[in-house]
Amino acid sequence: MWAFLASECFFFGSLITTYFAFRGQSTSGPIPEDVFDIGFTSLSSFVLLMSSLTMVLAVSAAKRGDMSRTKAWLAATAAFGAVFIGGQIYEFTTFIAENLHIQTNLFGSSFFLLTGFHGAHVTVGILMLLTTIMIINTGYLTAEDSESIETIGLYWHFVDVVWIVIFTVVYLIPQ
Amino acid sequence: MATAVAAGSQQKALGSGEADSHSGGGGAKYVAIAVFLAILTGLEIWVSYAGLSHGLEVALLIGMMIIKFVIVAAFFMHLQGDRPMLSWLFGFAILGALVLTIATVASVSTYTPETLDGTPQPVSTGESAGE
Repeated sequence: MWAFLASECFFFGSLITTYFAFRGQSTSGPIPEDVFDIGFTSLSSFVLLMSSLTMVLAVSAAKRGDMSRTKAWLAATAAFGAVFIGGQIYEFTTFIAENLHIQTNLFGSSFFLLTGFHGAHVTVGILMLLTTIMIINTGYLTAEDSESIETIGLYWHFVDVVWIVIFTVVYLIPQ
Repeated sequence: MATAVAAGSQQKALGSGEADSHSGGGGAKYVAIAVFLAILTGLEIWVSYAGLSHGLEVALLIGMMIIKFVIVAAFFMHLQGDRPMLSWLFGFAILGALVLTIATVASVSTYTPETLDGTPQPVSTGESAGE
């Protein structure tokens, strides 16, 4: 998993690099200042941050052998992730309504590419969490297999740290 | 489903001697860390609206981003107390991505908008143009 996450560092590094390289180079609008709603995105960021807390609590419960609480925390993590994805869909819909499409300008292309791939990763994480809950329900995954849940946790936390970077460099740092 | 189980088994097979070092418990510690991260996020938003000088604002935002990143990696991802090789692996990847970003942005910054879009002048706002 750590080797995979290392490769993901380069993947998201490339996307963030692309965003930086094209930053401020758009020759037509809309530009970030026209479309960003920092308050809304901050709320989404907070939700994703809290999902990391519920994930680490799920791992902690699994290591104690408390599979009931593990399932509850995993479900909470998936719910937070779903709220984040819902927020991203709303944000994308709003941007499109303001005539910012992926092909509109350099900002649109690099922004949708970067945040879209991150959203896809969160979605994969949600599916992994829900699948894990189902496996626990079947009794195939027990307290002895808590390392599996920790592995999924690593992926989830990585998605969170990537968003920490995206939130700062894309949304907060002015051009 | 099978992938997740297999991945976990693989990690176990790689050596889980470190498992005990970060096993169970620590709920209050994790909540405290999450509260601290939430406060840092609030500070980031305040800094972005505070009207500070551009340099100071960017420095503060980058600094807080790094602190949040390190805290999540160290405590939530359990890099602290885990095998040092994993920290080196992750750190090397981050460093590589950082070098990639700096090198690319430095080289692309030598191009003009004309070379990027084929148009004579950037027409975005004055602040954003030319960066």
